[in-house]
Amino acid sequence: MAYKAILIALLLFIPPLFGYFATFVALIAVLFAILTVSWHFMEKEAGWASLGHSIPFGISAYIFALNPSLVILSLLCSLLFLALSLTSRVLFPFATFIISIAFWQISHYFVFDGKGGEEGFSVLVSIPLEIVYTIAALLFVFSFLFVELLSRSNLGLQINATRDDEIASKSIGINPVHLRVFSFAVSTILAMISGILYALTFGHVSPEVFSPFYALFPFIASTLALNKRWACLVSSYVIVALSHALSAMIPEVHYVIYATVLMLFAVVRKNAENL
Amino acid sequence: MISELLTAFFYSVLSISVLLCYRAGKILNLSFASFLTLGAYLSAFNALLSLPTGALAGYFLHLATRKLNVANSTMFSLGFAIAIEEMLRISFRTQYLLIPMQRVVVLEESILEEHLLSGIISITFLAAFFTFFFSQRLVVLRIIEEDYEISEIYGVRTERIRAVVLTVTSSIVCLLGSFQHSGIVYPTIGWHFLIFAVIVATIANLASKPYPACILFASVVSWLTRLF
Repeated sequence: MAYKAILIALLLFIPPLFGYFATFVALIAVLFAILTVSWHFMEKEAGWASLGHSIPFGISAYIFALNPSLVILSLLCSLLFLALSLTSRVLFPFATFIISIAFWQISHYFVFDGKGGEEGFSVLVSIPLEIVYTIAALLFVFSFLFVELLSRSNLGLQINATRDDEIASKSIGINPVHLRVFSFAVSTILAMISGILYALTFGHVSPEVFSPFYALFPFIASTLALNKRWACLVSSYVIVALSHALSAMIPEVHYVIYATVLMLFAVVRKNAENL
Repeated sequence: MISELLTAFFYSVLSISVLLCYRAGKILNLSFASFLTLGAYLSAFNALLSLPTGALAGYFLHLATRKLNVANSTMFSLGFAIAIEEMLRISFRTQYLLIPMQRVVVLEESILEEHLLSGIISITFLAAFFTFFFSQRLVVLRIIEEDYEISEIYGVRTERIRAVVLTVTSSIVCLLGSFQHSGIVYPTIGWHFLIFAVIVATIANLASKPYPACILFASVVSWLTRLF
């Protein structure tokens, strides 16, 4: 346990010592790590694997750019997840993925007050990068501890029981729909935090926030982390650092990583379960 | 009107392919998005190349996913789709590829010649599909759709049929991709079509006769896309 805490602390505290660019890259990794933790909670604890976490991520970023006081409205995304969960656990990932692609396509036509469209919106709030990084690091620690404590609590055990057997959990008085709504809401709130941090980091929000890159990132990072929550930060760093390092040679290198992980997914997950 | 009709035929074939792969092949084939893109890129050289290329890609997909369950097969197809798109992006090193198109006038309506060809291919496929699907020759396909495990117990060669379904639908989709674009081709062009096809297939899957329902819903989608 100690070495995990030391590794996380090193990944959070060392990058600012190496200047602006390292802090910027680390900030992107940390905000993606929060998104991955949010996804991981919904997948591992509640049993709903979403490939559409770019929806709460992107919507919160968009609303934050337009009017930060309305950002709470992005919590409604949990209701969208609830509606999509009616498809079944097997089809839920693909239903969320298709809807996220639909959001990506539609967002190109979203214009407000003569702005938006393919160009997107500029964020009105501006905060220095170092402060955003500090906030992001603190929020990552908070998200991680919150999800860790929640999954060990009585409520977390009820969520796990519903994931394993809905009918059995009903028989002992658990309402699976209430727990599903709660799980989706928790995951959506964490994805919202990540979306807001994204808007603050880049100062600009465009339809790209709904692209498959963001939709699939948590799944890829979690798979690379061998489904271990603490390792989500490490895998986020690996993907972001590799993308930046190799972008000069292959501009869309992250998609090459995605394709490889997705195609080897079955093997990787099988091995992870045996660890 | 002609244009809407041709688009409806195209979406019908695409949604039937999605549904057929899901029901008989146990895979939600998201690779169709990149097969459409692959076809569009190949049309810059020779559109007919897309037929064997699509067949090869479909057969490879079958080989790679034959031992996987629905979720993992679909995940693999998504990875395969991204891999093809990235291969095209890296090979062409350009954001857009411009392909010259020609217009023809049909019943006083000016339409793209390629869209007319796409419509003819779609109609041919639909005619062949409905002729064979409801005949005794393809009764095994309906048995597989009803219950995959039981059909194996009865000696139906499910793996072989899955290979044929994936190969044929992939080659047709790739061929249609060569003709369905509007002259501007980019790596993510196929997703736009696939979203509508998956929505149509999902709704049609709830109907008692899903394949004819695909044509009905595809017509509605085609009309709606033109409207907006």
